[in-house]
Amino acid sequence: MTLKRHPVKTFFIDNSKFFGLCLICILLTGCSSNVRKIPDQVQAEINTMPAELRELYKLQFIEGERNFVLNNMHIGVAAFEKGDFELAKRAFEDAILNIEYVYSDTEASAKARSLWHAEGAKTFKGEPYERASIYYYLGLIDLIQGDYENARASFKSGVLQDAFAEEDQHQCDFALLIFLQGWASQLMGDEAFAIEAFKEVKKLRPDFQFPDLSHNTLLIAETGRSPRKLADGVGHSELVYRRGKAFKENRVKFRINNLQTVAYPMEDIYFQSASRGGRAVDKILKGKAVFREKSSHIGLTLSNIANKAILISPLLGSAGGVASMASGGVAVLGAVATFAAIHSNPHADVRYWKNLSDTVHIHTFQSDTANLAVSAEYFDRKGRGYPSLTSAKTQIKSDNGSFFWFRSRSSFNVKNKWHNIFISNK
Amino acid sequence: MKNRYKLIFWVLFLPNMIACSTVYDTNIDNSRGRASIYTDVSSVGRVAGVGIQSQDISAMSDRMMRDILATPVLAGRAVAPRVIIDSEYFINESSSRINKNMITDRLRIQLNRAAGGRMMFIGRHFSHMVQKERQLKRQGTVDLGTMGTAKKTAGADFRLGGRIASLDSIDRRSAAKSRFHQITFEMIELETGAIVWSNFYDFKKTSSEDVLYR
Repeated sequence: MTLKRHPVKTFFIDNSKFFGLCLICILLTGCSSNVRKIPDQVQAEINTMPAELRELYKLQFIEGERNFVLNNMHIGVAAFEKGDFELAKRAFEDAILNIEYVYSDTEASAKARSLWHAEGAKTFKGEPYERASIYYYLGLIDLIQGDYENARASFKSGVLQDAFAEEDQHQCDFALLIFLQGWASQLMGDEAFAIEAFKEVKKLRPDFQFPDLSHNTLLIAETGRSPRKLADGVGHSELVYRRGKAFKENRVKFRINNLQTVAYPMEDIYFQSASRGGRAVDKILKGKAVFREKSSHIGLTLSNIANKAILISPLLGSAGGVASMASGGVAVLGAVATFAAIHSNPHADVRYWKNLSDTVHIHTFQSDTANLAVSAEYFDRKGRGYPSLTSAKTQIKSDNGSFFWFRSRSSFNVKNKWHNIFISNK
Repeated sequence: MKNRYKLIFWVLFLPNMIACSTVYDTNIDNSRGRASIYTDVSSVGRVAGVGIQSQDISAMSDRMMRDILATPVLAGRAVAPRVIIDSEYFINESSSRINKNMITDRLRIQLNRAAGGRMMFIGRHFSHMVQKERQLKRQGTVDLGTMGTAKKTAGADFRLGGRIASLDSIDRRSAAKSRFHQITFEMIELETGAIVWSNFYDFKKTSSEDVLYR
């Protein structure tokens, strides 16, 4: 008795060397597509940057235009924390140039609007709270450099970015930026404008205390981690915001020449993100999700019809052959609809500015700037302290006034998870 | 039979191999850049927003220059008046970040070239430079040059003041935003405070963001 050998198994065994070679080819192809070589001249340019920022600059080169604004946001904050204000300014100004440029009919925009690409195909410009935050940092740099007029203009532009909130009550309610407009005006002697701005802040923050017009020193402390964006709902088409993870500190006390004072929590960045309201693009994503559902349903239905036709075709005798062919055609249509459903992409864009903070706290006072020692201590809502949090600090003293900036979480460690690239310069 | 299986295999395998080698690239923008080219400063250009751009600066300085030259109080005096044109009293109250020196430098230079001696311009923003050189000469560190010394540096008769203001409006439904700029220029007589000349330049720009960004 001879055993009947399975034809398919026999085929693979007989041609094992051939398939082994194919497997190696696939693996090599997969490997090579993931390694990006950075040109030597670009690497040389990156090497001139501060060491802490080089990985960010590599990412900027590799990710190109699509994430240019996002990478500049990360670079800008990291450079600001490092105290390299010129580099930070350049990064933020480059980001703003791209934000202010109105995108119309670009290939990336067309892709993102189409059924087959996720919203993430578009060139990133950020949500309103992120765009407003760029102007916040740019305005701080202008303040540090004594350019109070441009600082005020930056803060004003930041408030305007918040004007697209769907619900009226959350429109232009970025109190921190309105306060900073007033502060810049006060520093340049425009008291009328300063008071007007502080009155606007008072409407949004009833417990806000106007700074005295003699105050010339501003303390800012940023706590926590940036708000996160997540894709939820059918086909991950709904963009939702969540507060940042893995932090508890959200209160600050400043120690000014050994006297402790509680900072005022002026702005909740997470609240600004979450109060954005619906976006116009959400309707497009919803449309894509509906298409996906319907196509998937049609594909299943057609496939079921085709299956049933194939099953009953033997019972139809001579007509069974025709029924069988027709069912083949229906099966193909079903496969096409299913293919369309699988490949339509309603996924919301979840890229976000990762080294923003959660809350911004402020304090102002009058000082002669000569012998001023300031530090920040972090607490949670219940008053528990976090002495282990070492604060990043920037300190600028000038004749016009001083500025101190603190941060409870470092902005240097930005892990990019939106692609899987092995960065190599070899 | 064997050939049929091989054919089926290649039909299935080849597209996947191509897809594997290219699927990563669709996520990364590797588009070619564009070589830089010269563009006319007075043209709108490809990169545009609602703020102040080169064509606005070019047009406004040109208009102000012509108007100042046509003003007898400034350009028609028997003795050329001394004028300071800089950004010291040119205040930006708008929501556009701008280097004001671009406006005032351009105006001063165009006027200086076109005035043909009818007006004399004082470089008050270079006063530190002038003081330093005068000190070196009087200390004897350097010689007196070829023009001798002057008892004092030149005082001015008129000085430019101005304001950049803007008004923003937004339509939330269409995400259209518009910004109206009004840039005022005034020449102040520095003894009496009289405004001897004034003019303004205004413009409004509107843009509507792609639906992806609304």
